[in-house]
Amino acid sequence: MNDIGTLYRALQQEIPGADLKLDGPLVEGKPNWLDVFYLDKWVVVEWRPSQGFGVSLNQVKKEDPLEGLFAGPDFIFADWAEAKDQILSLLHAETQPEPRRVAHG
Amino acid sequence: MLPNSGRSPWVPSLSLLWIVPTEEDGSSSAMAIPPKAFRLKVLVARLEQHRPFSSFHEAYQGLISTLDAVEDELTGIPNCPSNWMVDGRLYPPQRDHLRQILPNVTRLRAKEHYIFIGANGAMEIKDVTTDVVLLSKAGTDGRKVWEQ
Repeated sequence: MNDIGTLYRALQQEIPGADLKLDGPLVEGKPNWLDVFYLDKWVVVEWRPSQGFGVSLNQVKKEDPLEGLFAGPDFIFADWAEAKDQILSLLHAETQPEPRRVAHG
Repeated sequence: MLPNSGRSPWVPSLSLLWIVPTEEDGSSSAMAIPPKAFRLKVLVARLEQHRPFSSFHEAYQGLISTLDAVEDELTGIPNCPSNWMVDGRLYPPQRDHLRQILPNVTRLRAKEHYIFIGANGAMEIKDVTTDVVLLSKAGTDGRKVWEQ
């Protein structure tokens, strides 16, 4: 199993109430997206096999539907476990954190 | 003058929004970079007004070149994708995110949006969660993405 598949399984176990959607079949060497919906929050994960995970907390309801188009991720992690911790932190946060762009790992 | 097709209900009169400060001698003064929301509205307006594309390749290249042109003109930030995390410029999604979902339709996923491109050059940009369509442009054959 590749790293995005491992992350998917780990999130399933940690937050069984979350709605997880992979954007397409797992293809060896191809990037993929994972959408995580939990309560009123939506975290999107972009995975690139050689670079790791881009993690962002998106607005489910936006005033401007163009918002976020062509924007990069808020956080970057080389390791799936670090990405998972950030995802859980975003989903469980009481308030929406200020978007910031930080590379980890 | 920046384009405003009036076809998108959320696109205000861009020519009114983009006011270039002018000095007494007629020269333009340095101005702040317009926000991303404004630049994206300009991008969509320009794509709407662009002549129809005739193929997937032309539409994909047209999307990239239009975004690059908007960012070049309105931000002046050098086109250096390796600086994407810090430079504030908008960059197109990378080509390896393309997925052929139907024989005539290729989908490009971005963080919050799908971009569908038809083999006939049609293009549609849609919000991932709300299904709100932000751009729906026919190809040269007059057909939209889902009408092929």
